[in-house]
Amino acid sequence: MVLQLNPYLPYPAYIRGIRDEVLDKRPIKTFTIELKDEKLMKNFTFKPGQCVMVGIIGVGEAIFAIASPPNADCIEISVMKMGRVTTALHNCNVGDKVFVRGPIGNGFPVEEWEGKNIVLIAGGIGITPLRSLYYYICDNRGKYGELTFIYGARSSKDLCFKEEIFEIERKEKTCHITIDFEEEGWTRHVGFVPDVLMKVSPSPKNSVAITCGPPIMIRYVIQNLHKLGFKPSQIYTTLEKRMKCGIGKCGRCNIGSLYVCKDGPVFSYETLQKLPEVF
Amino acid sequence: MDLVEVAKKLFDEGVEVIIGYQGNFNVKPIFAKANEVDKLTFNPLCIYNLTNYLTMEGFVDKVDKIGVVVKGCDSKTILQLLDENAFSRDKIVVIGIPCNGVIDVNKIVEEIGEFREFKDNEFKIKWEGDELVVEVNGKSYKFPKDKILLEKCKVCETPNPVVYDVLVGNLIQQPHRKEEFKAVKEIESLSLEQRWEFWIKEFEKCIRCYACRNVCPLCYCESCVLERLEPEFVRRAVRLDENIAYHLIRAYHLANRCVGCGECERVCPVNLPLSLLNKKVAKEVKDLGFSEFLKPIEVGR
Amino acid sequence: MKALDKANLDKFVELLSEEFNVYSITDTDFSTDFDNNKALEILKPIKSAKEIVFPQTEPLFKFDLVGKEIVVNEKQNSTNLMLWIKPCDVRGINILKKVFEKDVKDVYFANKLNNTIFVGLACNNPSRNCFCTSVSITPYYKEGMDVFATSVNGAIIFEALTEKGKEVLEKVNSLLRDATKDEVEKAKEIHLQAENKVRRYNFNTSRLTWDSDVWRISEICLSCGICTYLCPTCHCFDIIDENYVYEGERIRIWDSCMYSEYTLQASGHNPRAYRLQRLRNRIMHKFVWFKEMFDEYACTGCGRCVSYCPVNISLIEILGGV
Repeated sequence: MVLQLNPYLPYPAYIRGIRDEVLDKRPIKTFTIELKDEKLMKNFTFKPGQCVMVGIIGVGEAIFAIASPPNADCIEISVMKMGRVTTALHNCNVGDKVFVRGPIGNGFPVEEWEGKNIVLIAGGIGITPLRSLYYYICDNRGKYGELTFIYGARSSKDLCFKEEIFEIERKEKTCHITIDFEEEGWTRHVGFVPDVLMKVSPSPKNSVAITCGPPIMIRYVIQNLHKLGFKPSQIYTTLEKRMKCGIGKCGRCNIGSLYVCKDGPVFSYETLQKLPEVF
Repeated sequence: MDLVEVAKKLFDEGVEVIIGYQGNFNVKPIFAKANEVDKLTFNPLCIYNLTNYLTMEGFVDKVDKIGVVVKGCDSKTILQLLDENAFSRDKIVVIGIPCNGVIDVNKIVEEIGEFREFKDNEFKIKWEGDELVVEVNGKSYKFPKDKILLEKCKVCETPNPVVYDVLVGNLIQQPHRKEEFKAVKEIESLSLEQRWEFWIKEFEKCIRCYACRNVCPLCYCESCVLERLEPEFVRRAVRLDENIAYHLIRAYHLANRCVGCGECERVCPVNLPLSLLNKKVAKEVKDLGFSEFLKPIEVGR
Repeated sequence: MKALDKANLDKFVELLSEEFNVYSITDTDFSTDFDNNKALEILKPIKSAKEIVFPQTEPLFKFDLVGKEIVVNEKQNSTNLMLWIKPCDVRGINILKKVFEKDVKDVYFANKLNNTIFVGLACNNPSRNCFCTSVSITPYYKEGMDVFATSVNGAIIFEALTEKGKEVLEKVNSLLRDATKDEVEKAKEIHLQAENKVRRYNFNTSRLTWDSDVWRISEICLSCGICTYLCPTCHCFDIIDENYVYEGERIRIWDSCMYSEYTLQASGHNPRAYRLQRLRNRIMHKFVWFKEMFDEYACTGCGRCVSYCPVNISLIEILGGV
């Protein structure tokens, strides 16, 4: 997709739908956003793993991983209420104007992965880019091998895309859902994602593992993938930093000579290994 | 006892780190550990107010006992910080040094007129009566005190530390100087329009590098009001109006707290007369009937 | 080569001002309000020339807060002319150009650069903290200039380096004469003299490792923005929305990697919360990572960070210059 001539100028868009995902002190909502210009919306192509800058006039912009699959007719993002922009988004209603810049970042190297088994490991709101990836794989099932899906959250209330996840559980042979602590009526896994990963113990043979979630989870997941025999080049993750420009100019999201906004957010662990102070 | 001997003794007594000065020509602060005790120096180029470091990145909480080298002017900061309960008194050992005044190194370079950086081991500088004596590689230069002294030192009321645990050197007997707010009175004598013109010309230059705030030992809030976005007191845009707001808010927050160490003015890359602003507030406070800074000396020791 | 007698300097500036916004050197910065004679003498202003192409506060676009619509700013059409800009500052702009034009072109920067003519002046009186020759330029480095000038006794001699430069000299042609052979020779002499005067260091960037002891100097860093704001190559910025009553503006402003808020995430996590991390990031970016990306250092040797650091932290020392 061709970027606008002025990379700082966002596209006018509006909120088509809002769905509550998590009701908590830090609530999460999923927003369905559509660009005003139909033609632009049609041409808004992206890869799973890419991000968008979503802005509200007078408040500012923030970057979000795209949760919707590339062939959807809209852009979906899941937003946890945290700072200025996310709070303003949470206060928005259906129909409200927002502004979108993007797509931003590299996305998952889905072509490279063709013919391989895919292991998706997500925690909390980190499921958003993996949701996009999952639906992309579903649409191209023939191109990929076996799929393993592990998703965890603090409690059953903190699971994002709950119904979809349970749907995936019904559909896929290997889908594992876990919560950190026991709950009444919960019959699935209990425990942290890295531990469940060990229990499931997917084979590293001809596989890639993609993990996304809180930094602490990612760290242990990577450690455990190691134990399972995954090589650094078979492990992918997405990173999160404070970002402003989204095009590798403003400086704040660098890790060494790489910019998360431009060279990421998707990195193979092989790359990250060589970098200092990743999180 | 000289500074190094004093420091050695303090390290023996369990001080973990001493915030002091190092270098003869290339003077800079140092966080000296016991094995670096020989690096500690003091000379008329020791311009920095080291008490600023006590409140930086929670430093006092990380170390059991810290030594800090202070001149007369810097020692006032310690009193003010103690008064505000910034840290507990038994955490710090104040090494007081009576001071004849400090000098901007650039002035020396300018006066000597040689185009080079002097090596620390070939450079000596000290006060001899009313003269500053500089020795470079055997060559000796003398400068009259009045010509070379920093402005703030010319009106210094406290050449001797007002609080200390150990004293290095002898107390200075000097004719009692008094801050008479000469510069403030001068600007007050101008008309309102002239004053406005004067200040906007200065504030226009501000680049908002926040060096004045960061160097200020009394600007140590964990989260500065000037950086808050909700609510936004000062816009981040670097423009005259926002710059004025920034400096005035800071001046007000220092009212009756500023000890006049002059660090803000010294570090300003675009030479804003920030001391003048702080002095103006100090004078107002004094005119209102409050003591301008100096709290009773007993607070410390 | 052409020459201008300094007696005609006022007329020269006047003629240029008819067609261009002429900026030149004052003590503090590059300004349209400068003293013709002084501007020629001042080595370099406290602030670098970067703000001409990358202003500290720059509106990206306006918006209407009521209708929530974006109003695109009109483009600036007048041409700026930077008179007597020094080689190190031009070098800074060349380095910024690499950053702002890599991959995605930054239109705001590019427009300003296109609208600016650089009439550079060879530096003939480097200062104590200058070290340009140690970062591979010289006091007579010309790249990026449109006209290159050297001040020789009573005259200034010019060399047009680009088409734009030729047009500028054409504009003031009535005041110019041919430079004499002596003057041209003398200019070369001045260049070499200045080059010899600049102190040369053997920088050792291999000592800039992640766990190096050199970062201990960050203990005394105040984490103010002086080094970054005065640096001709620092280019970090922030983007924020500024609201007035019915309208507002999205602006970008310089930011500094030395501020702890710079990398603070909304979650409260800060990947560079400590001064050591920030100082290390700044220096390694300039001398290791920038080198990896663009095969040169993001440093022009102007020495501003050394001269103005409030606590005398010296880049030269960090780089192992003796």
